[in-house]
Amino acid sequence: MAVAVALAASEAVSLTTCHAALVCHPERSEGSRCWAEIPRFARDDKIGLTDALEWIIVEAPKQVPRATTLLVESSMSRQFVPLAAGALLLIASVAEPRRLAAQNPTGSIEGTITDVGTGRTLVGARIIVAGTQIGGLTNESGTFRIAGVPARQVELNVRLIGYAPQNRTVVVREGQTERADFKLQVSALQLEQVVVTGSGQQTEVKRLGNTVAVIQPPDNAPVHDLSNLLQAREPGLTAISSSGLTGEGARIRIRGNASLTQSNEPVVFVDGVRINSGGAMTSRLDDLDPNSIERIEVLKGAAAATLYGTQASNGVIQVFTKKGVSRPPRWSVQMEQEAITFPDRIAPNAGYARTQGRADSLSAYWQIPGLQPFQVFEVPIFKDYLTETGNASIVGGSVSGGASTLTYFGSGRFERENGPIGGTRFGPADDILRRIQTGVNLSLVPANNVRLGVRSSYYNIESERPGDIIGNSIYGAFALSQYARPEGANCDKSSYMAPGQCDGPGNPFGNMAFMGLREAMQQITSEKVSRYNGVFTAGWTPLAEVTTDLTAGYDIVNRRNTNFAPYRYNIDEITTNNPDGSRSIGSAMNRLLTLDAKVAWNRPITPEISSAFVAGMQVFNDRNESSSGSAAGLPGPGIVVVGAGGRSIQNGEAIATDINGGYFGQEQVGFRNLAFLTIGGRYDFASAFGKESPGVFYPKASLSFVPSDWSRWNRPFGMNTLRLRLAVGQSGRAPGSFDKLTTFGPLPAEQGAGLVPAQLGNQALKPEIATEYEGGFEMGLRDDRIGLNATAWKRKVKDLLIDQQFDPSGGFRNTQIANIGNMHGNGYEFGARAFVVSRPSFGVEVFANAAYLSQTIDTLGGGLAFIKVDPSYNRHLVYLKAHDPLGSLYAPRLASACPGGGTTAMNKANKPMACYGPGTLPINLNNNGRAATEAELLAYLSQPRDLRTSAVQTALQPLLADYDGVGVLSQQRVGDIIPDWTGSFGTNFTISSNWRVQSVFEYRTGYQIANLTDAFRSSQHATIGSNTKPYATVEATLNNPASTPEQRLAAAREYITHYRRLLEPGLNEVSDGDFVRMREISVTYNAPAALAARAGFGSMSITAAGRNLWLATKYSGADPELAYAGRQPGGGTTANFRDASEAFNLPTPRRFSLMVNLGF
Amino acid sequence: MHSQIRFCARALAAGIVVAAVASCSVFDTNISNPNAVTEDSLNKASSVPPLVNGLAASVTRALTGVYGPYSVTSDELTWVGSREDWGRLDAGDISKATNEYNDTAYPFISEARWLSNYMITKVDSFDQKHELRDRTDLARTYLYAAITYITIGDMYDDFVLGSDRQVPAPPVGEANMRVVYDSAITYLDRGIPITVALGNKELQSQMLALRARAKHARALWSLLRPARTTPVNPLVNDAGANDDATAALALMAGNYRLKLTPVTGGGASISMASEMNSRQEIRAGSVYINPNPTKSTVVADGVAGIKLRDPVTGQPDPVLLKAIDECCRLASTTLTPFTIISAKEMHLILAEAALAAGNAAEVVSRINAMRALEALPAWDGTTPDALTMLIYSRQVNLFLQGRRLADMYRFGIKDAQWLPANIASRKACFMPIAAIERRTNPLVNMTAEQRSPSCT
Repeated sequence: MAVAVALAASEAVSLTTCHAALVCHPERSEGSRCWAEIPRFARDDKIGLTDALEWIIVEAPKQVPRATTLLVESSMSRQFVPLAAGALLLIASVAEPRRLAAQNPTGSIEGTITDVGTGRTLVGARIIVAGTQIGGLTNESGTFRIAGVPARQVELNVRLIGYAPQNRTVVVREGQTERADFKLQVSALQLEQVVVTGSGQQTEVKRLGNTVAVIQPPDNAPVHDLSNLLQAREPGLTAISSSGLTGEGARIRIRGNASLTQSNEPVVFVDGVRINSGGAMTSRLDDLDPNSIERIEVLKGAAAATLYGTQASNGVIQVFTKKGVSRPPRWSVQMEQEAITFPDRIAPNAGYARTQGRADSLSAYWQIPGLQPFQVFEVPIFKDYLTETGNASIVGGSVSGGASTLTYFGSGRFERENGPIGGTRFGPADDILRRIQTGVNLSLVPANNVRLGVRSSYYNIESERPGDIIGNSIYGAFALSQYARPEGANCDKSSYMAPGQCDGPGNPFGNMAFMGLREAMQQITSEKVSRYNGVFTAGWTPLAEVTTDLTAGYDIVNRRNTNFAPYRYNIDEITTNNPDGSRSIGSAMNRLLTLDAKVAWNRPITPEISSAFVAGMQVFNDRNESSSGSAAGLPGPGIVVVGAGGRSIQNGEAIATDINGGYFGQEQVGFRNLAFLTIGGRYDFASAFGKESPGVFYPKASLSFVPSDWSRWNRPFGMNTLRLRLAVGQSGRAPGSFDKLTTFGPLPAEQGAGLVPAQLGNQALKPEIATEYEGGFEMGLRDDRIGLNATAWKRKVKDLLIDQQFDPSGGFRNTQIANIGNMHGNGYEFGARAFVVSRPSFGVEVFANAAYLSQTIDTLGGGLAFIKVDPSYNRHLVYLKAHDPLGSLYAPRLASACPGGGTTAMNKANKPMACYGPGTLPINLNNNGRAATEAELLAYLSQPRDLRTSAVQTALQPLLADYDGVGVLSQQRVGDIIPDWTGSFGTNFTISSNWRVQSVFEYRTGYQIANLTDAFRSSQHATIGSNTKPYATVEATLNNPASTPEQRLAAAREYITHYRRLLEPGLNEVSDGDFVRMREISVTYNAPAALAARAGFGSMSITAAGRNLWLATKYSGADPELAYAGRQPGGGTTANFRDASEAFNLPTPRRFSLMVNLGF
Repeated sequence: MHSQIRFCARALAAGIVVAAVASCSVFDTNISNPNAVTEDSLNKASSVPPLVNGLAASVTRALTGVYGPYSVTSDELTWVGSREDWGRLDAGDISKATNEYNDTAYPFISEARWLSNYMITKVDSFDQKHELRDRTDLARTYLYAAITYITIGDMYDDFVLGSDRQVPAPPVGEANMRVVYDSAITYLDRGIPITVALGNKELQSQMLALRARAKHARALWSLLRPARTTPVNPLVNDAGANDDATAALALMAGNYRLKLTPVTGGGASISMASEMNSRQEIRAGSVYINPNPTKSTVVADGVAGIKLRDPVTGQPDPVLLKAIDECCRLASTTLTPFTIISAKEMHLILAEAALAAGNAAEVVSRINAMRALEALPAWDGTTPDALTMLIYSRQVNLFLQGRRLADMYRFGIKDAQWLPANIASRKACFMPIAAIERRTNPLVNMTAEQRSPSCT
């Protein structure tokens, strides 16, 4: 590792003091150049950055004799340059760049980088001329060429994720091209990986006491967006699929939930600029072109994210985009075609006729011969009528190149997807996604010590779907397909054409309420997003020890949403929901400004002790403006503007600005390159607390110790690498800017504009503060071909912001946020990676990781016993209660058989609870408060009983028991929605250097799902569902006059123990969600260079891939990893705790793709 | 040296620029909320008109909430949808505090109650200082406050009246709920002289009629509660109510109605009209209407949809037809009007008093006066009998106005949907203090899962 520092002669003369005495090397020095070697520890400690200093070239005046000690430090280096001044100096320097590179003679370096084990050429390896801003990347052939390299001896640093770094000295001669080939050794550990996020400046991972995960986009994997890219890569980071709908993003959680009411999404940066990562219908994260991403750094919590201050307690994700390299332009083109289908996990709709006449009609309608009364039949309405095989086409391309002072990377991607919902069979609604993603990165190196960068990206996203297609909407096409009762299907108002088809109005699928399926498919929801993201970066290294950086960014998202139901869309005359049409529109502008400036000062204090200091400031200004309008009652067909509506006319506007910023400083002291102690903090301010409020200070400290770098390390237990680490830090979450104010909001009356109480207000608001401790180790075995890591962490959140509901009789209905709670969480993260075989003909790499998570509320404060999530909907079962696991589900529980065949049972509070003894069943017949005897039930069931009637529902009540001893039968703890364990594993096979097979599996375990879909579909209900075969069989048996009382008794037992739901919300509704899913699999053929050349390309590969192809789970619902109603990234308890709640969510689709990558 | 000077100069310039940037408005943390009005801004008399309008809107929004569970419990509406808690109310289980519809509606009526008191204090203070531009605003404040208090009395067994923001108050107590009517009457006592002074006849008539209704309801409360049984004599004859009704009628046009109509959905979490016309969870009860033969969740079109027959003509009742047209055949609307008082109700109060007093002629006169407004043939005073005719007349003329459940209790009428075990079949119970209040108000000595002591 080396950094060569060239100093102008005039500056060398002015050097007056020194930390490291430099002695010109007698043999290497010549002319005015002095080659000075410095001791190893001094080298490392002095630089304190990514690279250690091996040789310093000083262009000294001729009068400086060889073997003379040079004093290398300017008077500047001892000054503390104010961070902002440093940043602006950078700008000043740009105005007057010192074009040292341009003034000095240069040459070029080229070479090939290969895997030492397989001999395979390596793409994307980064080569840096140490101490300069000059570098390059290997292309698809594994070669690189760097022009404009100073003509002298230089150090080349080669780095590639997954490989051990390598350095080499190369003597560059003026006008000549030098050759430098590298053979890299795979490494399962990446301690020398350079990271930026959370450390203030570029730092090797091994110097940080906290974890910084680095995710590199896999080559040729079925990854379409950032949500895909984050999924199943890193322990503790979960991307929870919101639904299986085209364009739907994922909820991102890192180490669970650090807040109850605020957003639990991490904050996201791109190249140092904070971006809007929200979005609902489509995710703003997924706007980013995955092909433009070089790597992603992830900070998992407060211990690592302290320097980001408020809003970072759920972690930080920083995306780094690809930069250009000094070389002729290289083009690459990617083409992909996909087929998309839903897995066959949706139970068909079942029903039965009650009379022979109806059975005959249904036989004719559904073309099922010979139906008899009370014979259950099935029609797969979702599978056969609502879905199709979707398709997607993706075309992308990029070009990169540049000269010594200017490099560029440009990319563009076009994606169009027509998902597997519907097509045009029922109506105009379809599931369409179109993304256009473009970006250009320009990097300018006007001088060896100056770097300028500009990134400019534009995105255009369009999405369309049937209205209310996901979630528990009574007007949604998917829900209506699940509500439908095939025994009610008919074409009574028009002519029958075929099963499920009427040539006019009808009820072709048997929708009993709200809306017909065909009507639902007339409704269209759309979204159009236009987004610009711009970044300006400047870096100046005025002295070897001092670097300054300035980052300024602008992220603006303009979004327009519409919901449209055309005039007279009630084609089946079922719905009365605005049958004369309706339209709503919403426009929103979000503008996010970032200013980030910092200065770093890295120097040796003694030959054994180094210092790396960084200080800076960050400010974010987040402005949101939205407007909306809606109206119903369109005057006629064809008109689609909201202004045409004649009633229910509403409009709205909202404006908000959130400003958050802070000053940060951090000192890292290194000892012998073995141990690194970091202490830092951030003083944070936010508009949520106003100008007068004092800021908040978030401290951090960490320790990293790498004993294996000790010269006497003798590889105990085969460990060639070992790193131990410990970190503690704080971060926070702030409430919204207006949460502290007592306000009255608008509510118009007939007489004019009106005001009503809106927000109670709380002047004492402050951020909730998360304190996180983490410790762990990395271990390398067998020459780092096996890497293991483990982390234990613990987080405490105090001053938890809670939505406090005061008694509504006090006048203010809305909850008021207050700092009244505390919670804690802890977890473990394990990772293992091994290069099992690494031969030229065959390579095998395996990886596995796991994360354990436990979270508990200590107190809710304010006298709150619990907070019910989604309080207005009693079918939602998540409550937040002190001392119980976060996200616990509470529901009634059916009484069990009395222990020992007796007649009594005791609960957790050691009090008697209901149970049923011999000869009885857990049926509270006619609400008599005890288990009914079989004789009583046989008597009751001596005649047919219709479960759809309230009389029978009231008679056949479940016998519930108070297992928890809390005195509330409806609130027995039955599980929690947050998995205990999450993780992934997978393999990479390389065969004869041309074939590559990659797979990734993801699993979650230790959580429960409340399946509301099945609660409707597998239980008695007046109008919705009751249409799975098992339930329909129970109902038909009870209804059938031909059934015996004993048969009815068996059916009643089934009903009570499995299918009695909804009437006691939650009963029989919760089941385990454990699953293992094959997330990705791909087979890639990389054409040999000769073959690619014959086809006219520099490189060529073909990949066949699949995503979500296989699922193993005992969960019987549509999908075990769905969130209730989309991403909902904005926070609030309802949004935060709807994971693992299935309510008419589409299952995750399977994707089959064929990709071609061409380089030239 | 020269380079050092240059460096220092750059550093200084940079520092100035950074300070300027950091302090500019883009990064100024002292921001305001443009979406709402802070309470500090409401301390001037100019804030009164929008606040009074807000009180009107708040009361109206509250009615869209509370009328739903009340009317579904009565026979006026019935459950035809998917949400079981409507079904529970329909079956007569009204006293369950955790019923989601009662629980959802309660905060809105509580808001209206608090805002009433807040406004009376505020507007009266401005009035004392002669800062009001128009004293009509003070009279309107009393009017809306009275509507709120009367609604609470009509629909709840108990209520919390004294809480203020974060300072809770205990419930009034079931035995003391009469005070809500007293308060309403007091407010109207204060408001009526203002309308007289202003010469605002319409507002005066509204307040007189409302006071008549308040006095009638107070008397009815004493009759029906706390005994919670069907009274031997279910009729009210309150002199004050009669006087006010007579006075109000003198100022009213023949078919006058004071209606409150919501202008927007207004963020109401529960809307009776929406539940009827859009979600189709509920519809008019089977006593009143015929459902659409192909779609039982909606009322059949036109006259065919009216089941209830006028006892004189034997034909579908035209008054009910109008009411159904107004409330229940407006697809998707959440903005149906709520009749607060009407000339017909004044007639009904007076007819009932006459019946109680044995003045048959007056009963016939009042009933026929109402019938004449609808061009209905006169009732002869005997067929049906006067009590039946009174009950019927109240049933159709006060349809969906929040009176029916009390009438059912006092006249011993049971809804066919009521299960025998449920409270409405056994006692004259109304809505309890909702679970949301019980969970958050430490002074309410009932858990959310419990029912009020007298309605278990």
